[in-house]
Amino acid sequence: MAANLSTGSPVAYAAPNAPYGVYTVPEFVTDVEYKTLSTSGFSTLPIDTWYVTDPVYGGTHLFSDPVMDTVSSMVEWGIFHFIAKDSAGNGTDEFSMGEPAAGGVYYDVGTYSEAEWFTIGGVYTYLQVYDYP
Amino acid sequence: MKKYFLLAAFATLSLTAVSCNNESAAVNTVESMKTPEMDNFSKAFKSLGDPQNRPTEEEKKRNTSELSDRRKALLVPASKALILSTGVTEAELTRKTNGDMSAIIVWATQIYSQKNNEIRNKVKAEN
Repeated sequence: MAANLSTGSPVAYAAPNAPYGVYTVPEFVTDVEYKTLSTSGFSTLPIDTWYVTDPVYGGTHLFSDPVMDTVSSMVEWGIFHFIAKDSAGNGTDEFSMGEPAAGGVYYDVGTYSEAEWFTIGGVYTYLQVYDYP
Repeated sequence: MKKYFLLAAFATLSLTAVSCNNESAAVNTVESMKTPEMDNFSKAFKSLGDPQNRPTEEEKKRNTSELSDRRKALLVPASKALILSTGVTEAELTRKTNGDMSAIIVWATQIYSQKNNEIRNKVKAEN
């Protein structure tokens, strides 16, 4: 999720990526980068559609919709809420990583894994998930 | 958009679902085509999860998302090596970054990302 964390609007949520029912990172996929919401469909792991809540820009928009350029310029990365699963598909740990203003935490330890969210130079936001050896 | 977003999930952990396709084969090829400098850069980031490199209680209390200087320092040697591997000279690196750790890591991240894309495109073209 990306949002204007000062005003609370707009908020943009990544839509499910087919064939999954939710936005899903398949196993072995790493080093995924999103530069902006309006280019997210070109990423290694594409986000094709965004659900936006906002009085003016709200709605379901393709990433390439010009409105996403505007939304993208108004927001920053807020939170990545996810469930880590083992190779059998069982959920193991649940994390809400991100800015406290968006309900996230910067660092969290699960039973089988840990995750952290950090920025460097105010340019990149990194989300890393580590499993325990 | 204020910040680029980078997602790294290490080892065999998958997020939110298990894929049934044959992605691993393609990814392995991408992995095998990474330069040693790219590998080391990736390993440096992964090492932030090693017990001794995790955020300390002090660092967790700072109320900022910015990585601490102690942990940035763990990323600098591999970042410098990756930048230099592109033909940039030490002098150029110093001039462009003023030795600022963030500037060095950000520059290396851009290179890493670009090289990753090039490798992926190459693999895609071959398959």
